[in-house]
Amino acid sequence: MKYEVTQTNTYEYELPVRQSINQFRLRPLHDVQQTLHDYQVRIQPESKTYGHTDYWGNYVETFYLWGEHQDLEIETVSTVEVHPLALDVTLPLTDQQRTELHSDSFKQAYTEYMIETDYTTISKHVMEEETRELWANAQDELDFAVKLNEHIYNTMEYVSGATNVETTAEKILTHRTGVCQDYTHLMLALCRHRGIPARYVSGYIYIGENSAYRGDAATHAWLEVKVPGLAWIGLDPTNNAIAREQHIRIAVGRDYRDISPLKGVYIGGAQTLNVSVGVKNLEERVSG
Amino acid sequence: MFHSYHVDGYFDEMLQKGKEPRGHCKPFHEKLNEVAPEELQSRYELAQSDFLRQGITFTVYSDNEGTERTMPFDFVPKIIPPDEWQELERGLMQRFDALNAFLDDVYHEQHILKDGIIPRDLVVNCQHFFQQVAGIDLPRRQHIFMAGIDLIRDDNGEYRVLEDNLRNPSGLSYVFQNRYVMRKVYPEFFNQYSVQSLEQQFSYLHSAMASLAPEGSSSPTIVLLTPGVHNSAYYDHSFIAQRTGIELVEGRDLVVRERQVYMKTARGLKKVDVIYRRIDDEFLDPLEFREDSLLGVPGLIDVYRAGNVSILNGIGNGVADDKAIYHFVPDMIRYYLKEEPLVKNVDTYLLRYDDQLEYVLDHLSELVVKHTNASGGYNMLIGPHASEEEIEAYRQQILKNPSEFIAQPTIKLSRLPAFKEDRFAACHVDLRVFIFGGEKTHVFPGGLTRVALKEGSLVVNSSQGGGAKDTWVLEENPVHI
Repeated sequence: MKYEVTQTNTYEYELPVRQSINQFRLRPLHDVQQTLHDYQVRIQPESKTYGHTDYWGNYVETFYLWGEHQDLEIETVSTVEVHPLALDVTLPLTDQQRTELHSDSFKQAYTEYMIETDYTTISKHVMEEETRELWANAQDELDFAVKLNEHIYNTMEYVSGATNVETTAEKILTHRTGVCQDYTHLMLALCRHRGIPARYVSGYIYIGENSAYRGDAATHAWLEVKVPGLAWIGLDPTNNAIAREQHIRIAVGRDYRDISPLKGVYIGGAQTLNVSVGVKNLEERVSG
Repeated sequence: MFHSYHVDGYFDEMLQKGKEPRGHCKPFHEKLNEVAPEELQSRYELAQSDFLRQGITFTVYSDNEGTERTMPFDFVPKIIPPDEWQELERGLMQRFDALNAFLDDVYHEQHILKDGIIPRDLVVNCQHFFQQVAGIDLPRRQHIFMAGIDLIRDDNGEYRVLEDNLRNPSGLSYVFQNRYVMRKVYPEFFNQYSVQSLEQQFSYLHSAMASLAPEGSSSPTIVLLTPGVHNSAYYDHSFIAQRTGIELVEGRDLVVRERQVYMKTARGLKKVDVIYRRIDDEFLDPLEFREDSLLGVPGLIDVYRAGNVSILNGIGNGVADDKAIYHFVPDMIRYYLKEEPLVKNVDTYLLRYDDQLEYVLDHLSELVVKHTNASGGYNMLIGPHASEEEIEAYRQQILKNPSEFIAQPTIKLSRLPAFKEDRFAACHVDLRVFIFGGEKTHVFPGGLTRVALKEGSLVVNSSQGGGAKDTWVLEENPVHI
């Protein structure tokens, strides 16, 4: 599936600001699961960006605005083709896969995605309790992850505004409300607790005709789990979905902190940020 | 003065069995016996007031407010004969080079982790591993500009490394001040000794900084970035800046514009090439590290990444001087340099391994246990000196998260005489040696000898009642006057 995604981020400042330095992660990933055909950035006031690839493989851009300005707009237009995994998640893992999953070398190779971060810290006994039944009934780790995806979808209530970008998994589990970021942090914590490497994914979701899909109409978040012998598998607990052709990936990391889409430091007063995203399916046929 | 002095049980650096001075200490010892105790006392007081007058203080952080103190000075120096020093120097250069190679590796290809020499999780999940600086190529691939390696001598007198400080080791100014006061107050003790001078060291320091400037900056502008006057080591900062002739700045004096760092001056912005920073990594740049930091400079890491400024010591060095990683330094030396370590570690148990944990829990009363994230002698258990309740409380702490602890046998730290009004007492000492990286690795002759002035105490940290001594490295061919 091929898409054109336009993301517009508009900052408005109460008073003119200056000496602004900004960093953003908005360029979709280009890898085996996804081809980035084109990517354009437009910044207003005009500014040059400096790019680098971070430790997790994401593309980061930095730009500077020295003079006074009262608005700032960053617009990105990406043309992305998604190659969904041909994977049946109901197939049991082989003995070999399970042995490797429990091996020290596998755990070492993916250790960054096995740790508790500030966002994913929950008391051990709470995680144990929350996952006990699912774990007992799962045929293997992958099956557990898929069932957990559904469990979180069923036991959480999607409420925007109840949480913010600072909300941690422990709180989410207590209140059982949140948005995609919260669903993701919670599931990351529970997967890692059961020894499954899991990473945060930020990106876009193509909703199209499928109105059952939830996303906040802007950017979306889900996670990927790693099983030996398979590519990273995308799971979207907000939609009880396996990420396939409708999930467009921008960045991956241990948690939200690693993929933080936009941040900046400047001299001046308060700001408001508006983000709008449009995802156009380039392969959709005009009916009639 | 020495009648109540004991030399047994520990290695005494000055006196041998029977209280006979070691060869290289003989002239000093004789001189000491010539001076009347009252005279020593009055000179001692003169020396202490000299430190106060110069405002050489450090701040002790505790649960309460920070309090400023001077570091007590004891005039019996640590004297190192030339052959002993040369051997040590070689060992420290070796260690320094291996640690530097390790840092460059873990922030690039991570060969040592892929080859399974060091467990990967210990490095990449370390709180001091900063993925933000991975992949950045540093001038001369030099991550360490100044290391402060803490050495002790065991009961056989063998030197061992206790700690590698590769972030912001402090104390260099004390070394100079100790020598200055020593020469001023006790000049006659230097007679018959040819001690390596410290005069040249500032020019070494300056050229080391300059040699680490970004490529193409011919006469680089170098600044020392301090958190400010309230920092415990501010004296160190201002002293070094002044003596090396570099500008002492705070974060607010610097600004980043279009991938360059500038210093605000009366005549406008001046480009900065090298920053010797004495601010911890997390506080350097609110854009990429702690957002609430007011000490740093927004955008600094991006300039570093662009190769337009050098930051000394390198960002993320803490992953190499971590208390758990320490265990693997001898392996680093073998891995990167294909050499056997010349200076040994102190044996260390990593409590992340079940068998070692079990052993340590069974022997808590004999061991020193440290939290890997604490420094300066805080939050450690000294088994032989702890009560049963203290040991129990610590055991509970360990069990909560064993992998955060290491343990070491109680080391019988060597001792030196320390002046106590009417007598000398044998007090435990250690030595911090400073090593500079740059065009070539250079070991500062001598260093900071710290002494646990509380008799029987093993904690030499200045924050815990330790004092300092002058450290003499003797010239190979002494010039007799």
